[in-house]
Amino acid sequence: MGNYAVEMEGIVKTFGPVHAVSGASFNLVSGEIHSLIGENGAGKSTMMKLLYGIYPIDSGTITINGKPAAGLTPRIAIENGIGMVHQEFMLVNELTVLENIILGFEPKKGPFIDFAAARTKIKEYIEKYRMDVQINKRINQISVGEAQRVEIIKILSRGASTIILDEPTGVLTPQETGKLFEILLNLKAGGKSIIFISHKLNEVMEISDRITVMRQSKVIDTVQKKETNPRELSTMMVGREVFLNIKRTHAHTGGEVLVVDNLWTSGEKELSKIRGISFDVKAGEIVGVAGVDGNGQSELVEAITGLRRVERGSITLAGAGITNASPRFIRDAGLTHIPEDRNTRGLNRSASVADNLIVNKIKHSPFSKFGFIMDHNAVRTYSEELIRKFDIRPPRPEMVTTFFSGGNAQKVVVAREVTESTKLLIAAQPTRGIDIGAIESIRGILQEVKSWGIGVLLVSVELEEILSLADRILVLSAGTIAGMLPVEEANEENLGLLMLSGGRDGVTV
Amino acid sequence: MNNGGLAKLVLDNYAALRKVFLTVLLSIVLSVLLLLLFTHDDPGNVVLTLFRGAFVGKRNLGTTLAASTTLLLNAIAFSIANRAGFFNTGIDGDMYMGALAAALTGIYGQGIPGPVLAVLCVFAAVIAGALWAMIPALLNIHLNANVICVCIMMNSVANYICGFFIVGPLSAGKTVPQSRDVAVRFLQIMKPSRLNIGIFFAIAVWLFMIWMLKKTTLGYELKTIGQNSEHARYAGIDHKRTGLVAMLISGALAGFAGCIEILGNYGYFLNEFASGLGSRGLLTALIVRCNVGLLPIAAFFISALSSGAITMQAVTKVPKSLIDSLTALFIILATMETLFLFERRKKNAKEGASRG
Repeated sequence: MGNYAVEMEGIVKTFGPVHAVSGASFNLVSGEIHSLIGENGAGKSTMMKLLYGIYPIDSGTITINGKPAAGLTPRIAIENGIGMVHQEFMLVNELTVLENIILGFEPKKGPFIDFAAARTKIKEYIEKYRMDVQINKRINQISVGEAQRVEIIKILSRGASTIILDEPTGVLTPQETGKLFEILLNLKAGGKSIIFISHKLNEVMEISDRITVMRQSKVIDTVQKKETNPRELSTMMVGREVFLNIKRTHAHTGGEVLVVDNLWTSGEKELSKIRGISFDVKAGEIVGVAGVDGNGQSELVEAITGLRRVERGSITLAGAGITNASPRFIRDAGLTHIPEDRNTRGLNRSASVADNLIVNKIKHSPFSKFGFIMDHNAVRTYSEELIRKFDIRPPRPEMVTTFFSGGNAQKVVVAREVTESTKLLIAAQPTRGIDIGAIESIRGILQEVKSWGIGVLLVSVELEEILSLADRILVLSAGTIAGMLPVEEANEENLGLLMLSGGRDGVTV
Repeated sequence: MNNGGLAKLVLDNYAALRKVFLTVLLSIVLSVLLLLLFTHDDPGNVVLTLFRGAFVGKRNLGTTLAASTTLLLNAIAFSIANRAGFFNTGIDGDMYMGALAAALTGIYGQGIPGPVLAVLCVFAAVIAGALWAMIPALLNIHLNANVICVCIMMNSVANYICGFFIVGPLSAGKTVPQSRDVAVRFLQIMKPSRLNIGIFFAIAVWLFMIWMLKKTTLGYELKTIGQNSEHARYAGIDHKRTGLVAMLISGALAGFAGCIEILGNYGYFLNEFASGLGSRGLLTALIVRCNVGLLPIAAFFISALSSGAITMQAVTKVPKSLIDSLTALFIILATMETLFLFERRKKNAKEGASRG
């Protein structure tokens, strides 16, 4: 071939004792979409930050468009046509889309900014790549997906021919992901080269031309998409075979542990976000809640767990009325909850692993005497046991969780919330944004919980997760139940149709 | 606390302790430079006088310790509220209301046996301080009012309420606006200074609070709601109740400080006796970043500076305002969070680099 946009050879990068990248090589053919995949901490983000010049490389060579590029800085990288969309967007919320795009590179007319010229130029990009961006809105008025498109236009307007996207789909809904992929294909058709960082195999298999897999700071292999399959990729990523589609165990259902009757609640912006929902969860079964993100899943979970006011209707947990009860009361009645918002709700990121593991049971024996004097030894013993059982790394109870990776952070939450004494476990997006090894273990845990005779309410936007775990599936659409089916009758198509039905002709089976 | 515990305390706080000492050193060097610039006195002599004024002789040392007593309590009061996420700027008001309650009890309780009356005074002060702090806490918790604003406003209200009593029903009828004498006093130690057994109470409170923060579920809950109240709510900690408890403790401690001022230091309520003492407690706490273990050191140092300054002003030509400026300078240095925290800065740089 020889027509490489980027070539990285024998790259080494260490941070103190940590080997972030050890001797990795990577190349990008002009005009291709090349996915870089690996578990959290495999070194894929670091590799790209080296290419973008954020950190200097320790050794190795980087060649951009055939020219050796030594001593890269972001400025030099941009001049060489490299652009990067970071996981956290670099946008000013109070400025408009237009102002954000030209920020720092304003076209001038005398001492003034030439807004007309800027507008024309940006409109060109929008039309060429069919971006769907409202350039006069402020960033805080637009959706995450749109903000991401703004980032892409910003990079293009700086003259990028190679675009790096660092886990771009982690923050997107399935629809927005679809839209992003269309744009990526348009960009590719327009001659741009794209590096797509991800750990979602289905997306990688959909969009890429070639795929490079990294594991533990090394590049394992680069393969053609056509010649591989998700199973092979996940084996390369994890270093062993992974079984995400665990065989569903038969549900031995008991009595109802959760009964929701004609529930109404309001959302942040809408007055009635959940509109008259009724369903139940029985002991020993997993009920999956499917739906496009933002159709009332968060509000439903918050209403059940006592974190959001119930306007109308009733909720009963194992026979006890918990409508508008305090979170404490509801937990005491037998509920545990893996929240979708891991970083502010699920964890206290400023506190240690041990503190995080006992936050819901400090007033109970043996962690405190008389519910007041804490027994730090008991806390420590208990934490060490959970750390072993759930394979939390690093295995130190006193370690502060601030810098824990997504997977390990989620394991702390799961370890705290999964106990045999509970009656209902609510798991909201339990595997969102975590690496494949952790996904495997968390899905296994949910199966196990079911076999203990605990009722599980599994809320997930990953249909594949719901289809492989749930016994019954409830589809939420626009705050109502669009349908309820046993898993045997469900598949991606009929669920997808129900998800999009808008709740208008909802049927309960 | 046994020796092992003390050694551990020192070891755990090594970086913080070193920061305090280096900051003191730097502020002394800068002070000497300022003295050289703005006065004709021999800076060595000025510093020596300041030192003598703070530490040498029963009167001087006693004055410093007496000032440290209330300052320590106020600084603990601020730190406890801060731990739960409340920036309690109302320590002044809490202390005034505590002092007023102590004075009222002490004056109208004449005839009650001394020790009993003293206990009653303490109770009255603690309850008054707590109730006064409860107002901004409830307004914040239930109506989302800004604690800082409400507290600052309420400081003025407390001051005027005290003023009304001092020139009105409690007036001693002197030219100086002060109340009649209370019928009971705390035992004075180290006369002729005003130091009294209040200092032992303050130290006991300090030890109790360290124990409370480290070893009780309440301490754990305070920390959790302060660090992440949403997480606390989710996990079933009643963040409203716990926040209220923190503010009640804060107000109670400040009220106790007011009681020590009345029963220990003065024996009567001198109008506006303590203006700024509460905010100085806040500053003292911030210097050591609300690390309760280090509060006595900070309180002692700040008190030493101010009591030394009084002597220094009398002996040398250096005005006390210069010392106030130096105290301010010290506080600014001390609140620079990353100053002298060498390892942390290096570590941060490294962590910043290795993320992602």
